[in-house]
Order: sequence, then structure tokens, then C-alpha cells
Amino acid sequence: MSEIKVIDAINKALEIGLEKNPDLILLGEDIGKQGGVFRTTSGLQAKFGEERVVDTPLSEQGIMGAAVGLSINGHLPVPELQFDGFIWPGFDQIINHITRFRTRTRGRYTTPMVIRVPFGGGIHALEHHSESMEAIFSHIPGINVVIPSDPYSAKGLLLDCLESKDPVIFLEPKKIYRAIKQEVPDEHFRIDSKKARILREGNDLTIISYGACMYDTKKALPEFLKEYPIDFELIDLVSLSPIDYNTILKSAKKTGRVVIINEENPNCGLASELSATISEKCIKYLKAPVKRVTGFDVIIPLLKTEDHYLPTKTRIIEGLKEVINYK
Amino acid sequence: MQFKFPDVGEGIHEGTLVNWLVKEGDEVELDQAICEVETDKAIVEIPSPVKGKLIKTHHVEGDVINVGEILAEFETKENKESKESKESSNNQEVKNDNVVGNLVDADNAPKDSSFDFENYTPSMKLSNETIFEKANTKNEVENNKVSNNDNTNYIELNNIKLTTAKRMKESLHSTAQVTQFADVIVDKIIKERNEHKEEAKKRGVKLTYLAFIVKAYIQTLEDMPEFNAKLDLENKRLVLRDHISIAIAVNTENGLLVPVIKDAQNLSIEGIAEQIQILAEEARSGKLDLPQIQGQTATVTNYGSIGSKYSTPVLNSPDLINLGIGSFEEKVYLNKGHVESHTIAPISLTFDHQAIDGAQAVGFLNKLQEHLENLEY
Amino acid sequence: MEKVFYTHDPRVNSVFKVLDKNGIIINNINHGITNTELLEIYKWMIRINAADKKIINLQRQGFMGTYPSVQGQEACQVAASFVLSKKDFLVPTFRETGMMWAKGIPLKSLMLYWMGNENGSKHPLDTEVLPICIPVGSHLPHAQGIGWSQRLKKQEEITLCSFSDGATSEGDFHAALNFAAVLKSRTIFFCQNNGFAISTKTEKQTKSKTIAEKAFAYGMQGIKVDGNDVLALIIALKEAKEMAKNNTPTLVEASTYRLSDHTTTDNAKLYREDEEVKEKLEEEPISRFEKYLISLKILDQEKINQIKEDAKKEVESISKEALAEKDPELTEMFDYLLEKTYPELELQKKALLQEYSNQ
Repeated sequence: MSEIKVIDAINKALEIGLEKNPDLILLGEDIGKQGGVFRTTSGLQAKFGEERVVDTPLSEQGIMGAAVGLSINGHLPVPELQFDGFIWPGFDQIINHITRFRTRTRGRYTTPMVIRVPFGGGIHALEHHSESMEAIFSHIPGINVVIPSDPYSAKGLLLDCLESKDPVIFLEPKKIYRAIKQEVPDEHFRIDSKKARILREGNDLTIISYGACMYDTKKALPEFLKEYPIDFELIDLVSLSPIDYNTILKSAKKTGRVVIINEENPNCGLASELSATISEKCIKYLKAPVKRVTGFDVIIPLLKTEDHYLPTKTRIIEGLKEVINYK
Repeated sequence: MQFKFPDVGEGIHEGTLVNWLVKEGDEVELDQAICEVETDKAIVEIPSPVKGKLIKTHHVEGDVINVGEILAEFETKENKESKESKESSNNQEVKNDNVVGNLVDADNAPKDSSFDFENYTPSMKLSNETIFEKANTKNEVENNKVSNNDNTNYIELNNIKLTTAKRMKESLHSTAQVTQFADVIVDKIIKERNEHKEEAKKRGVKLTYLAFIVKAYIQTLEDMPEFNAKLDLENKRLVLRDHISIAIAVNTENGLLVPVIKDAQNLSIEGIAEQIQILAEEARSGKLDLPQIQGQTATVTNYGSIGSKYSTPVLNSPDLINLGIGSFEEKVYLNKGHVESHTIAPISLTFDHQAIDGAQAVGFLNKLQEHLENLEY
Repeated sequence: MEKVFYTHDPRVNSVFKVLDKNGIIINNINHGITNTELLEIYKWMIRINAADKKIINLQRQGFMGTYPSVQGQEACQVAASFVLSKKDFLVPTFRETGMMWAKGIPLKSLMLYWMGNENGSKHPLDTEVLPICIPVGSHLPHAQGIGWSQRLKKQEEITLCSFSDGATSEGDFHAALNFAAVLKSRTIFFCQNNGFAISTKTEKQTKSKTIAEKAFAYGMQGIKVDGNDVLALIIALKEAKEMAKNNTPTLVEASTYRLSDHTTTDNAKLYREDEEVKEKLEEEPISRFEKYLISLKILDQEKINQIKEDAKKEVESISKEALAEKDPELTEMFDYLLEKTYPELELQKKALLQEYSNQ
């Protein structure tokens, strides 16, 4: 066991992956000597060589297209997209090919791969470096979307995704790359990347969140619980596609009160999907309408006002209170 | 203002403080060198970021300082405190060695007040009412509201009465209730009861006619198990119960309660009488708990004790029958030209016509009569 | 063997030709193809031509969805599949019926696909052929990636990517060739320049005089070949394959002409003159090759008739089979999405089956 950060957890997971699977290949911009713009892949090229940790030319469509070819011929590519905002030139390959090869060829050719994307806001970065477009990815059939919320889950989930036979988008909430230190096993271990994690069991309120917002939610809870020391259930969604409704609906039926907290633009988002399905399947059990605490339907602003776009402690607490106090 | 050790060259993490070139209390000029720091690249002079007074140094010579740690504090003419952002942890921000963005770093942040779930004990309970239940109650309350301008008096309905109201209505709306009437001859049980009531009294049991009738009822249910059942239309069947538990309707000053004699098939007449006694006592003193009013398979409503004759007792969901018993009467009959007198009990048997038809009900009553004539203590 | 790549630099407008439009050899280079193989190549060109015509008829009769014809490009179609082994990867564009069939995908499967029946998407395991690619040019990076993977795995095999002039304007063309050169991919980029991207002629597609010369910008070799000359194509592609086996990608431009409409829903008369088509018809690949084989006494009129007759019969019989094929199972749209299904998807599948049985 070691106390490490998300960034180290990912680095370790990739290292284990590269050791275990000789067909695993990392590709992306500046991931070699530089170790990636966040230093996530630091040291890996030195250890495994330039043919396994590859600095590619600057082209997201090139990277994603190459990953298709590598995967078809039996490699397991782990392409890194430098920032969520730059995924779009490669998005054509995702939506038109990566998610479709299995269906298109009736399983004759498949494209397993783990697409790593630094994700989300809160690091006071430049434009296009703070996007939260997970709803778009989750909307596409044929790919899994996975997101950790702490170092332990980052390592375990990534190691699980590296064994997947389907393509996966692995979203790395950059706001918490360094912000959390946690005890994580040194060896190989897996956390089921298709299941939501119940971080605390409770009977009176279901709180669902993921990514960096889980971290923010945990920070907001002490203040909320001082005033309302209730028996809450905290769920880390983990799998955005497919959603683990088995866990979610069970919880909603048990508590009858649900709050979903994420940083996306609310229109047509993950929170809407959860709210609709929970309401549809659990309406007789609900003690209050499902509450969504999200960002706004705007472009995320630059650093001076960025923190007001993201779910603030106030917004989270007010959302929880609203559900508790519903009459 | 606080001056933090900056990244002085191409992504260093830390440096060693070689020496201070000024001391606490000195006035310094903007850009004046205040200390020397050794990195793995070189020894670097750090220039003052402001013109003002160096009021505090945060490290001594020989210390290893991480990028982002406070190096020194200055007091300037403006003495402006940098605006604290309310939400963001600006004072923990570190210009990390990543290429873009400012990441909060756990190493430089105070120990995370990250929530300790293990040791948290909730102490607030929340209401269990669903939105629908809340709405229903609200509707009912509003429907019963009388305008404040009326000069009428009110009779408040307590919870028992409200529950009864709800259950009666639900029962009638969800079943096809029909009542079959019959006068059953009870001479035998009168005899039996009179013969044994004293000895039962010695054992503390009040032996009632009701106990006998209930016993005969149970025996009839054993003979005809399709009456001791639940209707399962979805699966197109009657679910036969594996026990016979009889609910006895009890009138209390607070309203109608229906406690249950559990597993009555195992009880003797005296046992039944004893149970009736206990349950009625607890009902009247308000001591019944929830399990005691649940789990019945058939019901008995004895209004004979208050003097009524026939009725149409309401089924106690999800039962298929409710045996109503009126007050005993002596009656005169002609039997092949001869005059006879018998004591009869007027019986009103309500049954669910979804599961049972009239012919079956009559059969049941005939069987009941049979058992009442053959009952031995 | 003479290295044609180096002796035919497209930057000085050099085009590699062997057989002219009259079936006369104008370059004595040794093509190394046996007579048996020459006959086989001819038969393939005839069969592809027959199949293509049949499929168009089926479309006109209402049995087929939209279909892109390969008429005029038979030499390219056969040459590419001739130089590739079964284990070499073919990454096709969408106008590729001939090449895919000749490389081992049953014609029936191809027909079923164009009928919109995914039973035709279940391709055999003994030949590596990717499915057709509709978004123009987006398959070039795939071919790059496979060629790269083949090098890393030290495999014998190589990859050929087929595309037309339109694809060269897409960013994926640039990305793929750039990556291929930098990462030393075992990929042949084979451009069948048929003169059109739907209605857009090549001179509106690029100001570059040739497509082949674009290779040099990426640090690769390029060659422009007469795309109606199956002999020249085979020689050039064989050389390209040698270079690919040396982890060196190349760009081969085949200059040919799309005799048909873009697809069966297109009307080419709106954007080109009949005169032009007539002219180009004189350069088409099959007749010149036929003349050449006659001159070698490999063919005579009787043999030609027989071959054409056989091709017609063969295509007829296969299309009957395809027409008789049943629709895909409804559940297939769910069954091939991911490796394993999940509960919500199962519910949706159930709902569809329920709806279907209620009808």
C-alpha cells in the first residue's frame, strides 16, 4: 500500500499494464520524454521505450485513426487526448468507427482500446481545457465511458478497463489529479468499471456524483450534515455508459430522495438521464422530486469566474436541503 | 503579502535555501535580491516582488523549499490583502510543473477535511411519506375542511377512524362482496358451554358462545380450504393458506379494531376463548401492536353482543369471507307437523364473489351448521 | 527488376505505363506474370464487370439499395487484390466490389450488404478485408495503424489502403500519410484517381498536378501509373509491397476513369458530357488487355465468349442466392454492440421483440 495521488495511480496502472501486456501501446502528443502535459506518463517511455510509449505527430484524428488500425491488428492502444477540448478532431473516428466496428463486421473485427482524456473544469486553465461533455460520449452506442473520483478508483478502474474487450473512454478529472492522497494497493487490482460504487450506505437520501464533483460533494457534506445530520447514501456513479441502474434504482427506492451532482451543461445531460429513469421506475417511492445540481447551459468561463460556473459548495448544499425539506 | 517560492526554471519542484541576503525588518526595493536558492541547475538569486518591509522569513538557511511554499512576507504601503476567493482554494494553488493550468496539490494543502464516513452517526430522521401519500393526505384533509365561516361543530376523526375509513372503502372497491344469510341452530353449543363454563372459569378463562362458533368456523375452513385463501388473479389462481388465523372485530371507544388469533387451527375451544379474551382486553386498553392486527386468513364480526340480527359485514382484505354473527334467538319451528323450539344464531356470511359463488357459500353454511351440532368441548 | 518508383518521378509528370490503349506493349519491362496468371486476371476483370452490371440491374429493378459501380476501374480492382496475400490487410473505400471479391469476400455477401442485409457483413476468417468505409478518407488512418502494428509485431504482412481522389482533400489523408512516414508503417496508399468525387472533377479537388507528388511532402515515395493498365499497376504495386515489407509506406496514384455514375442515385449527365465518356471508353482497361492476350494467343474469340458466358451465369446464380436470403434476426442489432450485453439493453431488446410479436 502507498499513499498516492490520482496522477500517480494512473501512472502506476499504465506501468503495470505495459508490463503485463506486451501488445499494450501508449500513443499521444508529448507523452514520451515530457511525460504528458500533466506528467501522467512520466518515466514510462524511459522504462518501456519509444516503440511502446509513442510521441505522435500533432493530429487527434491521426491518433484516433491509428488506434483503430493498431487495435484491429491485435495491439491494445491507449491513446491519450491531451485535453477534453481537443477530442473533437478525433471524435469522427470515435463516433463513426471505433464504436461501430464490432456491429459493422458482426464481430469479425473489434476495436478494444482505452481512450484517456483529461476532463472537466476547475484548474484555471485556458479555453477548451475545461470541458464536461460526457453526455455526448455516453449518448453513443458501442462504447463504455468510465470516470474515477479518487486515487484508489483511478488505479483499479483503469486496470479493469485495460482488460476490456470493448472500447472505453476513460475520463480523468484533472481537478483532482493532485488534490487527493489516498492509500492504494501497490499491486495489480481491479474495480468493476461497469458498477457504481456505494461510498456510504444510508436510508434517507441518495446522493449521486462522479469525477471531481464527488470530491466537491464530499467537501460540502460536513457543513450540510452539521445542520441536517441525516442517514445519507453516497454513490459514485463510475460508469456513465452503461449506467449501473441496478444500484441506482435500488437506492432510489430505498431512500425516496435523490440528488445528482455534476458539472455538465444540464440540457440533455447525464443528470437528466438519471432523473428521467429514476422518476419513471421509482415514482411510487419518491418522497421528493429528483434534484439535479449541475453547471449551466453556457460555455465554461475563463478562470476569473470559472468557479462560479462549477457546482459551488453553496449550490450543492442548497440542492441537498431542497430535497430534504420538500413538502 | 505572502511571497511564495516560484518555479524559477523549467519545471523544478524544489530548491535549497543557501542564504538570506536581507533580514526581517529590512526595507527592500522592488527587484532587490533577497535570498539565494540552489536548484539542481544553478544557484539563483530571488528578487523581491515588491517595495516594502520584509516582515517575516519562512525558512532558514539549509532548508529545502518546495515550489509554492511561502518564502517571505512583506508589508507594503498599500497594505492590500489579496482578495480571497470565496470558493476556490487559491491559497493552496501551486504552479505545478504541468504545462497548463493550476492544480490543487494535496502536498501543499492543509490536511483534507475529507469526510470520515466511518465515524459518522446520523441523528436526524426524515418522514417516510411518499409524494403520493402526502398528496392523498393533503386531499383528504382539504376535502374534509369546512369553511371557517360556518357555525357548525366538529367531530375530529382520529387515526383509527381514518384508517378504518380508508380500509373499508378500499375493501368494497376491490372485491365483489355478497352476503348469504342463514339461521344456524346453536342448541348444542349452548349445552356444551353451560356444562363447562364453570371449570373454565376456574382456569381464568371466560368461556363464550363466540369461542364455540369460532371453533366450528375453523373446522369448516379445514373442510373447505378454498375459503381460507387469497385471490391471485394475475396468476389465475387461489392461494391456499397454510394456517388458519381468525380476526375478531372488536369495538372500542376509539373505533373498530380487528386483532388476530394466530394459528387458530391448533387451539382448543378454551384456547380460543382465552385468546379472544386477551385480544379484546388489549384492544380496549390500546395495547395492540402492529403484528397483532395482521396476518388473518378469515374474519368474524360478532355484533350479536350489541343486539343486532343480520348485517353485511365488510371483508377484511385480503380475506375471502367474513362471518357475521347476530344475537341468539329462540324460535319456534314446525317439523313434519310437530312444533319444535330451537335457539338459533342469525348468520350473515359475506364472501368475495370473485373467488366463491353462492352455491359454495351455502355449502359452507351447511357445513358450519353440521359442526355446530357436533361440537364437543 | 527495375525500380519504377525511382525512374518515374511524378513531379516531372512522368507516368508509368506498360500497355497502351490498343493493347500494345510500350515498355519492355519484365512484368513476371505467367500466362496462367494473365488469363486468371482477365477472367476476374470480366467477372467483376458482369457482377457490377448485374447489381446495377438489380437496383433498377428495385432489389438493391444505392450502389457505387466500379465500371472503368477493373484493372485497379484486380491488380491490387493480385499482389496482396490473404493475410495482407485490405482497407477499402466504398467503391470496391471487385477488389473485395477478388481478395476472398464472397460476391453473395457483397450483394447482401448493398441490399441492406447485414447477413452480408459476416465475412470469412481466412482473408483480412476491412468493411467498406463510407465517410470519405476516414479509413486511411486505420490502414496506417494496421501497417504500424504489423511492423511492431514483426509480421510478414503489409496493408493496402484503397481510396479515390476525393479522399485526398480530407484531413485524414494528411494525418495518415504523415503518421505512416514518421512511424514507418507497412502501408501502401493506393489512390484510384477516377477523375470525380461525385460531380467534382479532380482539378477542382486539388491544384496539385498529380496526387502522387503529394507523397514527397511527407517524406515518402509516390508514383503515378496508368490506372487502366493492369500490367503497369501490378508492377508498381509489387514494388510498393516490397517497400512496405521494408517498413516504408508509399503512395501509388492510378489514373483511371469512373465510367458510371457516382452511385445508382446519381445522374452524371448533369455534370459531364457524353463526348467525354465516349472518349474515355476507348481507354478502358478490359478491351486493351483482351487485345494483348489475343496477341499472346492466350485468348481467342471463342474463349472470350465462353468466359463472358460463364461470368454471366455465375453472377446470375449468386444473385439468385442473395435474393433468397432471409433478413437479419431483429436481435442482431443488440447482439453485436458490445462484448457483453447489459440489463437496460436487454429490456430494450425485449421490448422490440414484444412489439414485433404483437404486430
